[in-house]
Amino acid sequence: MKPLLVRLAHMPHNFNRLHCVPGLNGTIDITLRYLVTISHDNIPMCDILASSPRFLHNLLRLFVLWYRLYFEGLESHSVPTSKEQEDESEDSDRSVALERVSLSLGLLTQLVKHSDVAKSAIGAISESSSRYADGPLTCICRALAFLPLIRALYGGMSVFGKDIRHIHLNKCLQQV
Amino acid sequence: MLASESLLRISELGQALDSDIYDALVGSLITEVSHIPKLGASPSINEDSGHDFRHIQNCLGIAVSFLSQQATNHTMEHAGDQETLLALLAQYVNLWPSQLVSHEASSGAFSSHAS
Repeated sequence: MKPLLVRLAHMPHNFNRLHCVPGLNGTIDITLRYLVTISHDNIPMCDILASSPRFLHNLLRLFVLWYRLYFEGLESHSVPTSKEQEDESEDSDRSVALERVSLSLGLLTQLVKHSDVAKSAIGAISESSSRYADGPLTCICRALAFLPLIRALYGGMSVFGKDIRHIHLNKCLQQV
Repeated sequence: MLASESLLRISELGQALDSDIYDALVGSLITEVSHIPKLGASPSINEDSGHDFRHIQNCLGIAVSFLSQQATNHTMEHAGDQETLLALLAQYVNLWPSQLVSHEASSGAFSSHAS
């Protein structure tokens, strides 16, 4: 079987953008926000979440999904288009994607910071994929390599201030 | 449902909620989240279940504002309930990728799971 990150990199492109079941869609951000809040500097809670390898795996998948959506949105945005309405909807898609990139990365960061289980699980994933560090995989590896920096940014904040997080994370992601 | 919307409004106004209310919220969330159908298994989520999602969304919103008002959440009472909720929410998150990646379910390109 191919390593997880190789499979992540070859994820199909035609996912439903950000709009799945309406009800489900509305709960994504707040569920992530709750998980980030409750796991913040709380080792027992981090351990509960990290104890499920499937959860870590899916969280990583979701992160990559939104991360790619955000950057694909950026690229397509640089092409001039006359359809203003389309632009607005893309803008809003991108900001939803950025919000979800931030939240899922925030949660991954908390887990890696506080739970040894999560640390070794994610470490194993990045190790097994280092041999495949080219093509679409590179951005994911770089994103993972960025975890310590983002962890440091988050670690210094007791409250997940929306504005601060957006500025910092945006800068980080631009450099990845 | 009505109660959760009123509470959401109150918490948005910056009123402090006491921990009894938080415990009740966690209990309510455990019930609601455990009743979410297996999204991939059912043919589709219909409009009726949008109601439950709205309730979950409200309760989580209040819970987040409650937790962010606390200096620390290490001393939370009824940690057991919170752990149950956390495990349920983790299962809920596990359902998302198949809902967000439309192609995945049919192609099976991504069907294997880490064990």
